[in-house]
Amino acid sequence: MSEPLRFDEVPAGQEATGRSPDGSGGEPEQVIVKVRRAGYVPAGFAVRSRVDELLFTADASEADLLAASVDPDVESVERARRLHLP
Amino acid sequence: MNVDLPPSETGGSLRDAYTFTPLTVAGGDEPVTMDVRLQRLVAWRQHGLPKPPTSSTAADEVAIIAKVSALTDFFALSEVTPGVEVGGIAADGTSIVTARIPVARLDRVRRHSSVLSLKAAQRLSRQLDATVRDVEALPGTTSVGTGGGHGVLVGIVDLGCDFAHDNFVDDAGHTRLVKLWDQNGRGRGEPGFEYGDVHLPAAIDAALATADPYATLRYTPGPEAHGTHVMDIAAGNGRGTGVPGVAPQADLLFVDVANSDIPWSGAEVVGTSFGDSVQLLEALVYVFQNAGDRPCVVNVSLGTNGGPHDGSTLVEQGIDRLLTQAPGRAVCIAASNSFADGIHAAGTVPSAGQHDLAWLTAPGDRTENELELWYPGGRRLTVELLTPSGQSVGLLPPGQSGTVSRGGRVVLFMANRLGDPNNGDNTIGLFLAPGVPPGRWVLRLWSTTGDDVPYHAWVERDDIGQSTFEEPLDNMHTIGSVSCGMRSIVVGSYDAHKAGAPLSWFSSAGPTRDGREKPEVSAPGHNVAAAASLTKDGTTRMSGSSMASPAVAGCIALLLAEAGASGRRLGVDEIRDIVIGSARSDPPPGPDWHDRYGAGRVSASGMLDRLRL
Repeated sequence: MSEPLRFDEVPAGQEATGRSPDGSGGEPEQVIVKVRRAGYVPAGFAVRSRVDELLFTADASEADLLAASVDPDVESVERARRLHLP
Repeated sequence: MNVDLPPSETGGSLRDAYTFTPLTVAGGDEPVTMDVRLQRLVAWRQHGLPKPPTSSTAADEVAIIAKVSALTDFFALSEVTPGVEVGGIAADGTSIVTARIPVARLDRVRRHSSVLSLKAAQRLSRQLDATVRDVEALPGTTSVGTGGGHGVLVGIVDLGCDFAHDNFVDDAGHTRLVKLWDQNGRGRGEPGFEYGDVHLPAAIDAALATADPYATLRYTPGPEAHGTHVMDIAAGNGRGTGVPGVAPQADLLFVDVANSDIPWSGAEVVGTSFGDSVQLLEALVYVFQNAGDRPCVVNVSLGTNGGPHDGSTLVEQGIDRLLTQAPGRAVCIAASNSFADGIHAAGTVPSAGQHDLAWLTAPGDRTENELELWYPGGRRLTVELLTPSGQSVGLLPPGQSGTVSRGGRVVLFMANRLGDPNNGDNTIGLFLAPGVPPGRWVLRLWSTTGDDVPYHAWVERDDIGQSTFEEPLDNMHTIGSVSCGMRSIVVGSYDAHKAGAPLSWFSSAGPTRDGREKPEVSAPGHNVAAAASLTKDGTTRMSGSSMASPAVAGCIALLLAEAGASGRRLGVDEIRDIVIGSARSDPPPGPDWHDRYGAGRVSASGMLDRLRL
């Protein structure tokens, strides 16, 4: 990797996501979701299991995650974080 | 040195095909100078090939013979598991001794002032009863309640369950497992948890009656199953090994978060993660749902380094919610083993001027590297990233992100994100793909609001070529990223085999980033002998906060059983108060919370006495 490393140019209004430009992130992601209304499920999210009426795990596409990021009924979405054996 | 080499099979010269890579101390440039066979183990480990366990050594551990000038000093080292002294002290004051040492700590031990010579063998034996005795949970002791955890469900969320080990089978030959959920099985799970394979007691019992129960059940735990060892510490019945765990009469439920696709040896196994935070949370929901009204304590010996370390992640919030949904629930989590790994840094970016944070990635590292920096939501930082050659990748103002791509692949990603929805704080995240130049990366930080900006940063765990911050290191706040919840009980590790119960060299330190006292308590986690998978009745030794946490889980099972026998159902805050309030000191010194021992060393006897007050 001999070329100097510089941030890519990103079109105005678009946030760099860390996804490869070839769109290889097409698989649904496993996430943990916290909503503001009991029982609410953001569009496109498939509930996997529930802690309670406000917090659950789900599968969601990148497009659905993007929509959820501006959904006023969604407080937070957390992608799965890899774990290790201590 | 010139050597005449034969031509290679492809016609070229072997000189062209092979180039020496100098063997150096991990994280530095100094050459490794110890015994040749020990050097080879170090080289293997640095290239992702941990030493497998033997009958007398744990995984990634080597038996040695040493000549030392100060026997007591040598045996007092946390990394040293003493063996035997051979032939007494010589006229020159030296001793020949045997011991076992983690491969990762060989060079450090070799450089200790008491060590004159270190050579590569030997056996010793430690039993699980050392743990049970140390946590004051021996059956028959007057102050310890009867029942061994009877009526309590002990949940284990881990890797690899040897359901056929005799310690998990009762005297009638029936499994003690109420369920075994293999999250990575090919089946459809069960309603509400529709993935993986769920193995019920009838199927497990039928498998136990066959010549190859693993093939019959279509589930094999693997030869170094961490979860088997952990479960035995918490609640093994000793039927196979002769030594029961802390709560031998509890019922068991095991969730295997990763299994058949994980390689067991070779370069691929190092750096592999085991499960993820979504699987972990689903496992906990599953265990508590299956517990129903029954008292239930779950052990989680999983973790990672990154995250806000303030209990605000959704997985930690989820754990806290589960714990308050009903009485009779507890979750014990290993503190992590990152104390000496250089994975935490903290500082203050001045109101005027720049502040550099140096991050060292290892030469030859073939895995990705990741860093997270957290700072208060009301402040703002601009960050510039400098490569090891000093070149600027660019500046990111608050709220912006940047990528560097090569050939359609993102090789570097950095985000300067504002307002995390879980805690309102800001975070800078940096991800380096394999192949970017190794060395000293610098995050150059400026305050943009005219305030001093305090920060904490963590390097994500990487079992091959762990990246670190530059010295001097700050080893505080090194507890794991799922270990900071409000109501979990986090457990550090000490060595119960040595006088004075010294801390394990690896046991991570608190407090949380928001200043809460975690770990809560500590327990034996050093060279613990417990059930070995695929042996039917054998043991193996492992060390880690993973071994300490289930000891506390077992103690809590005893507490819950005793409470249940007297008609009491303890809420999580009551359980925490009892565990913390009954912890023993000396060590740690004094009554105050200690950043690695916690409130002190767990005591089952003390917990039951406190319950009966």
